[in-house]
Formats: sequence, C-alpha cells, structure tokens
Amino acid sequence: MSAALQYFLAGLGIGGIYALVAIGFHIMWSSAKAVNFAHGDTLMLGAVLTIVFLDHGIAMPVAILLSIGVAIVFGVVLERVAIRPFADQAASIGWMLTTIAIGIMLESYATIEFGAFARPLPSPGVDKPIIIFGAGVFIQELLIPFVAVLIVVLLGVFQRRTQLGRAMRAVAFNRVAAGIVGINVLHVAMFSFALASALGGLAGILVAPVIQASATMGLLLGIKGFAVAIIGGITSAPGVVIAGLLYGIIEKFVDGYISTAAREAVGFSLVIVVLMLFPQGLFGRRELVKV
Amino acid sequence: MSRLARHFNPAFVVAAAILILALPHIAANEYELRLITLLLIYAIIALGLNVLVGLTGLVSLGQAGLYAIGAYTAAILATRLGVGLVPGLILGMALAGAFGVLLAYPTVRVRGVYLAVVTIAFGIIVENVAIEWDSLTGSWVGISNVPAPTLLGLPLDTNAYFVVVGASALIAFLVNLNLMNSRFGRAMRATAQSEIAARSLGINVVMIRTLAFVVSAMAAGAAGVFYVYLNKYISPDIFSFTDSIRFLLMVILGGSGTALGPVVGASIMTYLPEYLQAFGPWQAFAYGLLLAAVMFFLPRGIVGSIEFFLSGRMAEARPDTAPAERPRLADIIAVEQTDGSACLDARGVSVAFGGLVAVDKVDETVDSGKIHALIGPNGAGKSTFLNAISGVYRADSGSITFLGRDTTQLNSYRLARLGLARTFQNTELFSNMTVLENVLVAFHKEYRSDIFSTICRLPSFGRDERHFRQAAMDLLSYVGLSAYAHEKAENLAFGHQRQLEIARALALSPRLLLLDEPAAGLTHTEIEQLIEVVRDLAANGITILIVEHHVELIMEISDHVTVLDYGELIASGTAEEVQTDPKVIEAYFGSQSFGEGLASETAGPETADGEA
Amino acid sequence: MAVLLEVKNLSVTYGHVEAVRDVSLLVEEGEYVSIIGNNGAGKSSTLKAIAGVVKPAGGEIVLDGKPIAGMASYDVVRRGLSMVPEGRLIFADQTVEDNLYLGAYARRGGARSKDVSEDLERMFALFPILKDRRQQLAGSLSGGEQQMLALSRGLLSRPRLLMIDEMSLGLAPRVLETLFPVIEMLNREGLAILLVEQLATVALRYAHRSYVMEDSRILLSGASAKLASDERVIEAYLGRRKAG
Repeated sequence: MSAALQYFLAGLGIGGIYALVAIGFHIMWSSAKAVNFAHGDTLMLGAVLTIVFLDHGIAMPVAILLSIGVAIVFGVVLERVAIRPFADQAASIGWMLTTIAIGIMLESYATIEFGAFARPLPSPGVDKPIIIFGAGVFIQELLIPFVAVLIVVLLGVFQRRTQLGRAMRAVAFNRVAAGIVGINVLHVAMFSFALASALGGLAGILVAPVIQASATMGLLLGIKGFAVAIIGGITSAPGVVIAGLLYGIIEKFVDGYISTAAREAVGFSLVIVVLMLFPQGLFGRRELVKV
Repeated sequence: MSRLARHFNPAFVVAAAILILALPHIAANEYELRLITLLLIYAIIALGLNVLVGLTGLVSLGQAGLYAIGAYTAAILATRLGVGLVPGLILGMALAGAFGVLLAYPTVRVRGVYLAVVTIAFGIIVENVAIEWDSLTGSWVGISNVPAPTLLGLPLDTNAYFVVVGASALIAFLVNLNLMNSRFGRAMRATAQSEIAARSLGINVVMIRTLAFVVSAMAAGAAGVFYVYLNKYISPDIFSFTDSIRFLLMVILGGSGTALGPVVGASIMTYLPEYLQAFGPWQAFAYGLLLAAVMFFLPRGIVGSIEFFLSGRMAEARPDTAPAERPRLADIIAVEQTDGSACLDARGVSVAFGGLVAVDKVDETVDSGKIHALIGPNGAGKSTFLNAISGVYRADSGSITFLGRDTTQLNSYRLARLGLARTFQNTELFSNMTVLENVLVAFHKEYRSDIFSTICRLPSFGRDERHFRQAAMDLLSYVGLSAYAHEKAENLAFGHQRQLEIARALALSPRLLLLDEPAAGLTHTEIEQLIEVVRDLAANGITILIVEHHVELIMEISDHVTVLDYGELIASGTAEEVQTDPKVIEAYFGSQSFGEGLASETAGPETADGEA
Repeated sequence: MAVLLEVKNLSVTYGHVEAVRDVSLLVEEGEYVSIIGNNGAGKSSTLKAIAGVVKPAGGEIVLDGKPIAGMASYDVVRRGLSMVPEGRLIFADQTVEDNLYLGAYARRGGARSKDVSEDLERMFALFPILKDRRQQLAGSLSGGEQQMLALSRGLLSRPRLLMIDEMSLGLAPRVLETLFPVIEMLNREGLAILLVEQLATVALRYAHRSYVMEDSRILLSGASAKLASDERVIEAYLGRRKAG
C-alpha cells in the first residue's frame, strides 16, 4: 500500500514535468502549428544555467530569473530562425529537422561548457522527505504538479480575459482571420515561443533538484513531453496536463513493479496504443476534412 | 538526371556493376573498402526510406528501430545457430517487414506529427527492448564475435563481401527507381498529395502506405543484416533516435523523392564523420550546424535542387498543339450501355456533424444514362450528400444502393472500383505530378502487372504501361488537354484543371459520374465546352449526377432535378416542374417583402428559360 | 468628395494562375461601391489584395494618399480599412463577446476601454440576437448570426472603409433582408463600403457605383442604376442571354 502511494506521489512529480513540457508544446503548436524538437533543451538550459549562475555566486532567485530569461531569448530566436522560415510549407519536415539541429548544437555546446556529468541543483524542496501514510516524498515533487495545474488554470484565464490571450486563441484557430482583425500573427508566435520557453526553463529548474541537471537531460524529457502532448491532444491545454500526470504515474508504477528499463518500452507502447484508439489524442479536437 | 532515371537503363546498370567489381581492386586499403561498404549499407537504408518519405510523404523518425531488428536477427542467428548470410538476410528482412506492416497500421488513423510520435516511440521501444532483453541481446554489452559471412556455405572475404553488398545496393537502387516510375510510385505520390482524391480514384491508400512502410522496413532490415557482418559487433547504442535522424538526413540531404538522392546523401553522411573529427569536441555541434544548413540552403536536397533547376529550364520549351479531332470516348474506355434501371438509389440518407444535421433523410434515385442535377442554396447540404454517396462521409442513417448493390458502408475507393467516379468542388489534383500522371493514377486498378513484374520490369509491365499511357493520352485529347500532358498539373489554368479532373474520373470507366460544381470559376466559353462534354458522356451511357449553382446550366442539361434546402429534399422533378415550385422559389429568393425585388430579377432567367 | 481608396493596375497571381489582371478602381469617402461578377472572376482576390491578405503581384493600392500595397493585413486594419471575409471566418471556439473584443484588437487602449464597450452596445443594438448570445461560443451560432457577428467584428476596428466579401454566401434571403439594410444605414452614417457580391441584383440595387469583373479584369464600371440596365451586364451576369 505505502509502496503504491510512494509510486503515485513520485509519479505525480515526474508527471508534472511532462505536463509542463507538454503545455509548452501545446502553446507553440497553437501559434505556429509546429513542433519545437529542441524544447527539451530549454529545460536543460534553465537547469544548467541556474547551477552555473549559482557557481558564480549569484543569489538563487536572481539565478532562476536570469536562466528563465535566457530560455526566453532562446525560444524567441529559435522561432525566428528555425520555425518561421518553414511556416508556409505544408510538409513538417523543415522545422522538424531545423529544431532538431538546433537541439543538437545546444546540447553539444552545453556539454563542452558544462561538462558531461550531472550535477544536482540545491533546493529547500529536497532537504528532507515528508511522510504521507508511510510514503516518503519531497516537497519539490509535490510542488511540480501543483505548478503545472496552476499554470494551465492561469493560461485559461489569460486566454479568456486579455486581448493577447484571445489573440493567441485566434491565431490558433485561423491565421488569416486573426490577421484581418489586426493581430500580428508573427508577434503572437514570438510571444508564444517566449511563454513556452519560459515554462520550459521553469520546468528544468523545478526538476533539476530531483533528477539532477546535465547537458543531455533535455532529449528524453523533450521527447516524452512531446509524446504526452500528442496523446493528451495537443490542441487542449488541460488535456496535455492530465496526460502528463497520468504518464508520470504509470511510469513510476512500471518502474517500481517491473523494472527501470521496461519503463520506456511500456510507456512508449502505451503512447502508440492510445494514438491508435484516439487519433487526435485523448482530449484533442478532431478536424474534419472538407472537400 | 530525371530523364535518365525515368527508364530502366541497362547501360547504367552495367557501368555500376563494373564499378562494384572493380572497387575492391581500386580501393587504397582495407579501411577505405570498409568505408565504402558502410556507404552502400547506408545507401540501402536511405533508398528504402526514400520510398516512405520522398514518395509517400510519411516521415519516419524510428528507422533505426527497423535497422536494429534486422541487425539483431542476423547477429543472433549467426552467433547462436551458425546461420549464414542468406537465411539471415531473408529472416532479418522478413521480420523488419513485419514490423513495417505494424508501423503502417497507425497511418490508417494518424498522420503528420502524430505519426512522427508513433515512429519515435517505436524506435525507443526497440532500443529499450534491446537493452532489457538481456538473455537474447546481451543488453548494453551487445553481441560480439559475429562470424565471417558465408554465402551458400562458402566463406566470403572482405572483397567478396563488398561485392555482395554492392550488388544488393544496386538492387535497392533499381527497386527504388522502378517503383518510382510505376503505377505504385504514382499511387504513393498521389496519396501524399491528396489522399481524398487518391481514394476517389480507387486507390487503397492503406495498402499503398503499408507497401511503402514494408519496402522501407525491409531495406532497413537488410542494411542491419549487412552491418552486422561488416562490424562483427552490435550494441543498443548503435540504434538510437539520433541514428534515425541521421538516416532521414541522408534522404533529405541527397534529395527526397529522387532516384540518386539517397545514394548521394548516404555517401556524404558516411564520409562526414571523417571530416568532423577535425572539430574535436565540436564534432556534434558541427553536425547540427550542417543539418540546419541543409534545411536552409538546400531544402530540396542536392539531387532535388539539380533536377528542379533542369526542369525549370526544360519547361520553357512549349509543348506541341492539340490534335483537332476529339476521339470517341467508347474507343478509349469501356462504357456499358445502360438499361434505364436505377443506377443509384439513396433512401432516407442522413449525415450529421456534431449536432448539426447537414443532410436529413434524403431520398434520391438516379436513373441510368440520365443527367441528374442536385441544386439548392449554399449550405443546403448538396456537397455533403455527394460526399455521403461517394463514400467520403459515412451516412449516419439510411441506405445507398449502387448498381443494385448495397454500398452504404463502402469506402470511396471501393465505390470507385465499382464504377463511381467524382470530381471535386475545389479541384483535388495531384499538383506536383504531370497532367498525364494524374490520369494514369486513375488507371492504377486496371493494371494486370503485379508489384513483382513491375520491380523486375517484366514484359507484362511494359505492355500495361504502354497501353494505359496511350489510353490516358486519348482521354486528355478527349477533354482537349493533350498539349499539356507533360506540364505539372499545378501550372494549368483553372478551367483546364477542371477538365483534367473529368479526364481523370473517366479513366475509372465510370458507370456514374458525380460532378461537384464543375462550372464554378469557369468562363462562359468553358461552360459551353463543359455542357458539350457532359452531354457526350451521357450519350455514351455514363450516368451523371451534377451539383451546381449555375441554375441556367442545370436547366439546360438536366433530365431530372432535385432541390435541397437546409438538408431536406424540398422538390424533385423535371427542370420545368422544379422551377415553378413555390417551395423552390421561396428557398432561393426568400419571402415576399425583400424577396420580390430579387425574385423578379434573379428568377428571370429561369422563367425565361422555361418558356423558351 | 475626396478619394479614400485608389487601386491602380492591380494584379494578383497564384502560382501560374492570374487571378487579377490590371484592375483599377476608386472608392470615395462615404461612397458605397460594389464589385460584381461570377464566381472565380477575381473579385475576392482583389479584395484580399487590398486588405493585405494576399500580396499583389503588381500595381498600386493607395489609401488616403498613402501606399499600402504589400502591407500586412494587421497593418492595413490600423489604417482604417476593415474586411468582413468570405465564409465569415469568425473565431468559432471563442464567445461572441470575445470575437467582438478581438474586432477591437487594432485599436489603441485595449478591450477594456469605455469606447469599446460603447461600440459593443452599438452592435447589440444593431443585432439584438448577438446580445442574447454574447456568452455563447461563436461556432454555435446559425449562419446568419455568424455573418452578423463577422460584420460587427469588422466594425469594431472603427474603419472608414468596410470591405465585405460575398456576404450572401450560404445565407437565406430572409437573413439578407436584415443585413443589407443595416449596411445601407451604416453607409448613410458616413462609412464607405466596398462590397464584393455574386448576387448582382442585390449589389446593383444598393451600391452607388459598381465594377463588373470577368476573367480577372474589370469589364465595366459606372453608376449601379445605369449598369443594371446595361445589356452586357445583363447578358453576362444575370444570365438573360437566352431570353434576350
């Protein structure tokens, strides 16, 4: 019983990260109908830079803000150079490979600068586990899913209450229509990538105390976050958060009851099965082909 | 190159074969020969992937998984059972092919980034199974001590092995080339460009995608087998996500959809690491930079860019003029004389989207050999009804009988094979294919030569190809487009595009032809031509169901008119009966107060027509 | 009256297809102008080029003496030129109210300003049904209601010239009966209108002046009343060839 609860709580923690990454994919998809395969590296950027800034004696809050700031700049630049030039092409292969290329470059550069080893990010959230019904869990692990849910709620409010938020939804719905009411689609795309990258950087900082920061931490987190966004339904923000949390929990159970190596095989098999049953994802919007 | 590539060229094959035989003697040392062998192995995987990416338009980010399946199969068979190269190759390809079928299955329902996720997931699953299944795969340690390859019991030395791999690569090249320039390649390209149109022409797109996946999977499997015997050692880290990307980059860099591109891409990607070593720790960075540079500066790839440049120059030469005489339709396609029975019978057909009922219990009988029209204000559900009877949408209730057969549940490609052809409101041409190829796609199901005789270029393939090329040219003459046969469809004027859609539909030898707003966007002269063609089709025994806004056109050619309004059938009868029906006038011109002005003016032509 | 919009030798191409060839037209301040012609004649493409939705291949577009050809749609709107697009293109997944707020996107001061809420009330006065449905998703509206919303959304940018593309498309005449008088009223209040309409009879009845397009060119132009009795118009667009 306490083992199951342990897996559940730990799963919520890692699932919260997938959820945060997946929200980023959702935001970027909505504005640009593109997938940023380097998004995982935004997490790496947030986590690794915070450690580097701390090394330089910068205070934690400032280090966090600076790292997120760099992540935002990275997202904005990436949108400009890797996504926008390919926006008009029907095939997705353009931005798919350019974003992968940028991911490779960033990861390689980080490896050179930061080293090939992993380092923990200190956090008061991992000082001492708290015990809930016999299951030990770090505050940090509970904080992550809380932040994920909070962000999706705030995002919803933002998209309903502000002009910029409405404009984001308008661009997602129809770019031509958005343009004729005066929305600069390019500005919205830029803002969306900034927002997604800020969330990515934040996710990296939140998860680094739990899983340690390294130059290569981004790849798998990014792929999983993307998979989660797709099975949740990339058009639905709440959908991807629910899918993220569920995926994290399932992973921890497989981890605990079968084996660590089986985790990815089972998890990704599940991704395929879900997509077969729900081609638009669990909570996605189905688009009708009109002729 | 495209000219050279279009046909099976024996001289090229002989030259390539001589080169392969000579290379072991030319190569400076064993290392260099090994590198060329590796190049050829990559060429095999890239050529296979080209069928998937370049022709069928499906992106796989999990090709390393299939490569791994081939490699592990051969390695396990060789180390545990002492099995030789050929059985290993057969089993490795078979197993990879089987996984190809498995991977193709999701494309029934998912496309684009969704499919990308499926392929990524597949690659990661294979990699992790290789790690996890310790007893079989040796986990991280992998499988080493792979014996030297044997061919029919004879051991192969490095040079002989090179020749075997070289011959296999040449075969892979020819398979890719012959597939490209065949009905299968056309069906793949058609499916990539407009799935809905491909279906409407009788193409089973699920089969075509499965074929593409199987071909690419078997190529990857074969490459995996060859790699095992070259390297003598495999481990899971050779088959990662990064490797899948590398294989994709080979195709894109060389030029996806071209014959030589994958080989060029594989060559560059084989030698690249040699040069990147100079960058030391910046090796991965330089690789990323190169990938980005290719996407920015050479999105068509090397061979693709050259072909594009050449084709742009060739297009300047104007094609010859059209023959004056229009051929007889009966000489080109099989048209059956009709007996006047019901060709299509729809009973109580309803289609709803969400809560909105677009078509509500519509009855419609189309008599054989007649021109039947479906009219109604915009949004009345005409196109939806057309889509329901042609199998694009499934009717929510009601039954549809076509040529006496219940077709309510049939897909559009099955309906097309039964003789139900259609055109599209916004034209759904295969815009990157030539005008002639567009028509040839529709002959796909008529070919007798199977995939084997196509790839091997057996005489039956040549017979079929010549026969249907002629038939397609004749159909183009019939609609007056023969002068444009080798133009890309997207370069046609709009009126010509509409004519091409009709020619394409006729290639199905249809019993019933559905025309969805064929006059929209046409000039008056073109509409006159359209009327002429439609009448000739009907005279040849082809039943016509036409959806149209141009009331005048409808009144002029239709034997029977059905009127829909807000999804419901409100009138049915001859043109004269319908245009005097008060319900129809109400639907088109509104109630009295505002309508009067409009009705008296807009209704004018119809009344005038009726009286004329 | 002063010239508000002047289009000179405009051409638009899609790939190799020439959709608009050498089109010139004028709209004066407060004028009601229509472009009529058959489906595919190039009317909508002309409008889209003016609104910045497609880039013209050649020619000049001058609004208020300033060139706007090639300018992006979101900048064109800021200069007082608003478009109600063909097919309405309302934001179906947002509420009626949010659609209206988005209509005011190009205005300074944001959606919260008093001006905007006053304009919203004005739209609700024009089309009371929108007020009843203000919290509903726009996609749940009927076709006619969606057109009212699209029109209101176009007005919320406070344009000086409103361009309306194929308003009658897919709408029952009953709905048009309420829409056309509203446009006429807006015009009488000083708003210039450029209407693209396939239903030539309706357009010629309301517009002061009209242009007739055929095969991507302007065939005729002049006072609507005069065009309505021009044999060539009747022949080409009202389909009276047979009767005549």
